[in-house]
Amino acid sequence: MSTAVTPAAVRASPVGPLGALFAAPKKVTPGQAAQARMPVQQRAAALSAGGDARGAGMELDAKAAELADPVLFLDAANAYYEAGKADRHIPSVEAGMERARIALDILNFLQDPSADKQFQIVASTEISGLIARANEHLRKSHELIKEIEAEDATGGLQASKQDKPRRKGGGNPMVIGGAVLTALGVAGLGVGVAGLAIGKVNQDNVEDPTVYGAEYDDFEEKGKRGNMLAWVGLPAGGVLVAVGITLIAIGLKRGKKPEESPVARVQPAVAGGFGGLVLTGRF
Amino acid sequence: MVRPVFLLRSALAVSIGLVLLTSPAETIEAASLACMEPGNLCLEPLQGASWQPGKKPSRKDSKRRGKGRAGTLFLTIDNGRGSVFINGRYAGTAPLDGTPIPSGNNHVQVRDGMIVLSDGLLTVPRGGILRATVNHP
Repeated sequence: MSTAVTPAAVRASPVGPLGALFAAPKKVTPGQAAQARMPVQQRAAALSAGGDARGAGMELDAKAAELADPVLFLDAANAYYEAGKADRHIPSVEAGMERARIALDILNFLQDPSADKQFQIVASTEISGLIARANEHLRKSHELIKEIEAEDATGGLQASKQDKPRRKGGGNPMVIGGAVLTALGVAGLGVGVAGLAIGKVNQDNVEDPTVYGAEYDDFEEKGKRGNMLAWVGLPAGGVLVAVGITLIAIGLKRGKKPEESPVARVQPAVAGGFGGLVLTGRF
Repeated sequence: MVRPVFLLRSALAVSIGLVLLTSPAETIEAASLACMEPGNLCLEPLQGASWQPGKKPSRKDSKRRGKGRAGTLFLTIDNGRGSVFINGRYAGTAPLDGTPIPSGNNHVQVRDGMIVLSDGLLTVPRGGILRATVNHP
């Protein structure tokens, strides 16, 4: 895209008409003004035909400010409008609107009694037609801005719709919660299994005929504690694992994308001297 | 019978008293309030410069204008936009950043389309740099 043009960036040229006022001819007729604007209009037409509507606008703009010519301001407004329409660029359309407003300022002033009667840049009969042209330009510019804003809003909405599933899949709270519960359940089951093992070892010791007295009581106490751990750990762990896996399954089903793999997985694992559940995944 | 000399002295004393009673702060405040009025042009204080709203230059002013060194005008519009016309011709669209302006009495009009924001007589001292603000209604 070419350089952005904002209304502030393309204000009236510093070589304004008042600078020229000191050297400007005392009398200007509509015919002379038409002749003065013709070369720049031809150059701008060539630029526009070559696809550089914004360049045409800037050329017309500079000359318009130099000659205080509302016709050239309107031509510049039109060129900026065309540039904005082609690039869907609101600041260019707004720059054109400002040029149309300047044209309106000058045209209205030309009807004021304090306007310099020697400085007739346009014929008085043309003023009402040019005012209508400027107002029409403002109307169609407002429409174009609404049109571009609607396009931008639709584009933004589509982008946010595309973002939504990604967020859902990336950080589904159900999957995370389920994974945490499953991990706690696995830990509970581990404690239960450990309790069973402790109970078994101490049971064997108690049944040993050489063990009696205080030592017997000690092994019996440890065995009871192990059994308690097994009684609590195994059911609690089982419930937590069941709930956790259910949550993960629901979460994955809701936020799943066809091309994505599951976020977390719980599977049984058996190895030498070890048996249980393994939780794998990424969060 | 009261002597005329005594009357004159009394009148003079009362006048001086009134001038002293009006504090500079109140004067500035009154000027600021007038400045905020829609259609008025606020001019930063500068010796020899003045703004007379609603006044037009005389034929004599037009003849005298521009005899001395030109001044420079900076003009901004608060809360809106507008174009500036000096002595019957378009001078630029606000903000004006150092536009040359003839010394002497100049007719200045600021307008936004059909709305005249400010209209009056701006006196520019030789080589003076003037800073003005117009409030858009």
